Amino acid sequence: MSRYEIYSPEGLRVDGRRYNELRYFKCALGTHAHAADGSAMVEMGTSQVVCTVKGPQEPQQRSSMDTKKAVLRVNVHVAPFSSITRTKHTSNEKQLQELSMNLEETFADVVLAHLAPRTEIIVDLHVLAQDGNIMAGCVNAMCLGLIDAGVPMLDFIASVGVALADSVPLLDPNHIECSELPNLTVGVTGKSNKASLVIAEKRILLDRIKPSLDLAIMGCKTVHDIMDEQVRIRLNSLEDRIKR
Amino acid sequence: MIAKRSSKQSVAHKVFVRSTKAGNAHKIFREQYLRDDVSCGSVKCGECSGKAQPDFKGDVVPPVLANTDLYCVVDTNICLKAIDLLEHPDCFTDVVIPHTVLEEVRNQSISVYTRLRALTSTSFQSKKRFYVYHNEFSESTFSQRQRMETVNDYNDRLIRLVTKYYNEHLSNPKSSFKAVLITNDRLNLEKCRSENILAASLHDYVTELGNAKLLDLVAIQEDAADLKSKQKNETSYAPYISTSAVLSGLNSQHLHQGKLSISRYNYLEASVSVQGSSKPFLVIGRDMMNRAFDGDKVVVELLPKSQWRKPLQTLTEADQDAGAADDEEQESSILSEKERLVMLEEARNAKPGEAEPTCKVVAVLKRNWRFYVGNISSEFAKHGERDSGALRSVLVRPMDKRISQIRIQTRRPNELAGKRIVVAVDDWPSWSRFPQGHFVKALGDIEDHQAETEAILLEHDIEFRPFPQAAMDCLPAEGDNWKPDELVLTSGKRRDLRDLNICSIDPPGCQDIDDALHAHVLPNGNYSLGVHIADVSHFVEADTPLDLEGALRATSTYLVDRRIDMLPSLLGTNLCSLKPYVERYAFSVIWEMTPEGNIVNTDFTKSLIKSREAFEYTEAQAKHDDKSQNDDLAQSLRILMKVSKMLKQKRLDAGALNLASPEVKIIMGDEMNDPTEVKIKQAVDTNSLVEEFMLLANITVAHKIYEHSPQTAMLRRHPAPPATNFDVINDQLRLKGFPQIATSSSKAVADSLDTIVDPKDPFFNTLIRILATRCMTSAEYFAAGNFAYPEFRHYGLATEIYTHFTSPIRRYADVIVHRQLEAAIGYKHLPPSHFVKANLEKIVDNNNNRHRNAQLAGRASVEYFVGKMLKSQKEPMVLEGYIIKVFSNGLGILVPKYGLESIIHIEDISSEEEPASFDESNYALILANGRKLSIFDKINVKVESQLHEATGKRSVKMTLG
Ligand SMILES: [Zn+2]
Repeated sequence: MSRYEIYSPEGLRVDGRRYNELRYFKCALGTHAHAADGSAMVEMGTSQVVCTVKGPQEPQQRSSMDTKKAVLRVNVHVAPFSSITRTKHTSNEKQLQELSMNLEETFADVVLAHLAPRTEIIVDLHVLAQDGNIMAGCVNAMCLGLIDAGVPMLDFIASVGVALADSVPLLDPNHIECSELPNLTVGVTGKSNKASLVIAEKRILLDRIKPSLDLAIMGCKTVHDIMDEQVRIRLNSLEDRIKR
Repeated sequence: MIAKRSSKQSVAHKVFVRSTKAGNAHKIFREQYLRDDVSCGSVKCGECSGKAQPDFKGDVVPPVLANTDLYCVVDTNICLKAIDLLEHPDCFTDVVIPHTVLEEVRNQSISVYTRLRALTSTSFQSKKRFYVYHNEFSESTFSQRQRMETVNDYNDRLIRLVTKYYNEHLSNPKSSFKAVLITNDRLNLEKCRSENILAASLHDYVTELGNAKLLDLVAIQEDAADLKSKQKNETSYAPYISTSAVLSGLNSQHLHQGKLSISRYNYLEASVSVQGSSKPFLVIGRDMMNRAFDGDKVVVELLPKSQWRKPLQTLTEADQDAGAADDEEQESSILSEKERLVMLEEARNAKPGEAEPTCKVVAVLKRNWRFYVGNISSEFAKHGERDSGALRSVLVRPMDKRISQIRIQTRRPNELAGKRIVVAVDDWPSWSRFPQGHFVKALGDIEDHQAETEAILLEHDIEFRPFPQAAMDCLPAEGDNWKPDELVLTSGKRRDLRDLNICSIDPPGCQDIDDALHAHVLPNGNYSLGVHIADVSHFVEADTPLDLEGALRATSTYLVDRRIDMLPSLLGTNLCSLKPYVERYAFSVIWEMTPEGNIVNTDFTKSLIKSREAFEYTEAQAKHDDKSQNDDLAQSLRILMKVSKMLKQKRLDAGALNLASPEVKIIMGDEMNDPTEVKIKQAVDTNSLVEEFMLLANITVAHKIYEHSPQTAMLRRHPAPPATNFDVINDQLRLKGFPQIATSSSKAVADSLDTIVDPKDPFFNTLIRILATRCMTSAEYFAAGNFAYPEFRHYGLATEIYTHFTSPIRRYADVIVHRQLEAAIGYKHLPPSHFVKANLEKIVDNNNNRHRNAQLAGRASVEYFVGKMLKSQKEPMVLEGYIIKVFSNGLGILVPKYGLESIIHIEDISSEEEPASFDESNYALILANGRKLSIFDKINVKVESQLHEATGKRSVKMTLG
């Protein structure tokens, strides 16, 4: 049995949230304006991901060039101090490679790559603190980073995790919930009601996916709104600067 | 559905340091969200119910606490020590459990946590109303831990805050409402006083209620110092070493951990199985056991080699200390590192016959305390005398001889004398000779039928309370009128097998019919054979309260006069039971077999069947033998019989063991509790017919589920016994001039057992089989991922893989296997909890334990009834018995007629003037008159029933006849 009551009969989770509550979500654009063309930071609870974007730019290696569209390359770095035990992660770890690939594929659908052929866009994601699964944080940070870099995109992708405690879906699971329960990461494009990304970490029964997806999509919408707010703030500050 | 965002203001952080198993310290940083919608849970309050939030299903948790004037807030210690009192109907009616307390309880005792949670799932209309208040998530009661504040102090402060909150939140000028903190912590009580918070000790609270019977239930709470001074003359034990010393000791292999098991023959001798050592380490004497109970997880330290010894060859039954181990001069135990390693190596490879390694307990990691049934020792109380009403300290002698006497305090020792009582253990401080406990309840008079039965059940930790309502709610609403739904056949997933001539064969009076069979000849000359098993998993959905209750019980328990079901009897004896003449759901395994007995095809399917007849073994036998009967059922019985004989031959050729254990059947008279006759069970061919097909079904299913879930398939293995287990019996056989039991393989064992016969005594072979069985290891359930395939082997059945599929009504393992088979044949998805190997391992452990307990309880029940039967005899009976063990001070005797086993004590056959001598190498006792009593001798013994004065336990007394 788990150390914790994952979802109490009173309807509260290990950290005091109810099933449909996100952790405190904080994000900002242009956090590392001198270091890259675009940058962003996302905090979901104590998880923290920083994204820097270079490009669209001339590819460093000609071999990786595509004459029809821009090439999107994602590297995920996990800081050794990001989790409870200090461990060194190298970017060619299988898990991280898989994560990078998933991110590249997810964003291939929204980035208008054909507008900048023969270029490459390099996205570096730095996971500074991980509390729960890191996929959702990476998607959100990358989305904001790309927007900050001025990469043409169809729409936002907002992402959030959901875990299943028996039949109750729990929105935005933290580390404890993720390690105890099967969980999904869901991404939604813009204001649509469709999931453009669904990744399951453990086996989940098919008939239980539906309510989890519904909840996750609602969560993504809320995340979308928060990010949208921040993008507008960043836009206004840029406008101010130009006016001055 | 809406998703909510949390505001920055609501986040608090909890930082704490946790040490890991590897000895590292981790700083853990955890978020906590503070809310304004945590309800106080009281019907008095209008404010909170307005803020209540719906859960996922849209329900709002209704208030629980009633409109009374006193709410109790309890602390962790009270929950752990006085859970019986919390459950008592006459006190603690409205209780607030702060979440801080619930978490602490959960970390310390899952069983108390479960009981506490059961108390909270009630409504405000019920008699007891418990509410968990999530204080750490509420803005009103949360407080940051202060610098330098210990966790305990912090938690105590949080609990005081809760008490304060309830008093303020629910205060009303018109009522005299108060919330009281119940705690036994003196410091906390003082702080409450200074902070003006109402608080009381458990003792004061119960005294206030003015119910003397309740007071007895309060654990000893005299000041430790007072008690210590009172008992300073008693022995004192070595204090346990600190946790950090344990961790570093285990790491450096100075110390070893394992489960302590105390010998059933000699309670001063215990053994600890340690990883990496083939033989267990012995723990000899009370001081070396150092307050450990049977089943405790302990940490031990090896003793120097000079203190190693052979296992005691004597029996110890009376309460006396083994001075030997303690009086020996303690040799300086400082050893060089090298010497220590050499010693450890020797200890691990200790051979039989040589001195065996001994060790001492230096710490207890986990207590295995449960409730103990016993009686107040007669020197403390006299039945019939009046109690003075003063609190007295008395010793309770548990029925289980391996458990030390337990000190309790009571105001009515004389009233309780002569009764079976249940006590709980609270503590065993190093300065106290006996553990301290408290009275829980009285079962009834000693030798009262009801009380003794309950005692047997409690002693074997068998859940016999009625099924909880939540579990009963999972049963089909139609109850006994439930009918299978023919519509399920249209889905194509369940096959219609109602046209098959299916019948069941069971012992007389069987109500829970798990299995039924069919057989007929196919057009191509092959046989179609089928085993149809009750479809329990159709009714018991995974992870429902009914499933959880079944998982907890794990098995049905069969006592002589009573059956304790694993599942409610609506399912067990009706809806699941494959009764004749009615339609039932089943899970079928169907083979096509050539007339030579080779399987051509195997098929698994859920089915709808209609059994034609429920036979008793003898009826089926008669029908099979009666040549004049040629109906379909008679024919199928003959096919089944023919095939089963082929199957059996194949198994025996492969080396399956035909072992024996004396199974006794008790025939009851008209009065339910008067046994009139005891018989050894007789087997007819139809017994083995059913058995062969069940084995075949189990093996077939085992292959299938292993193929589908190689990690989590629930299987059953029977490890080969180490050859050394047979050393003693082989030595005894050699002395008596019989052939040896070969141990190289199960086939060798089986073949050699056939050769050990005494032409003059047909029972002798059975006797050796019984004794050989005791040299075997026991079979166990396991999750497939935990062993390599060759280790799956079932030694006794001589099959490479095995599981339990055929008795889902009375074994929970079979229910899991049914679900795994459902998934393997694509009938239904596996429930998520069944994917997790860790989860399955817990089920496996529980099943193994419960299975053993149920068997022991069954045996204890037989023993009790045999004792009763003997008691009703006016004259002691003289019966034939065999000597199966020889000790320096007694003989172990087995009486085959009644399956009785007991001991002849040396005091009863010799005296100081005429001493008996013990010839250890020849396994013999030589009496003063020259009579030699040696192992395997057939002798006449006088058998009578005897009431043991001290324990009130009736047992069999044997003397030479
Ligand atoms: Zn309230």
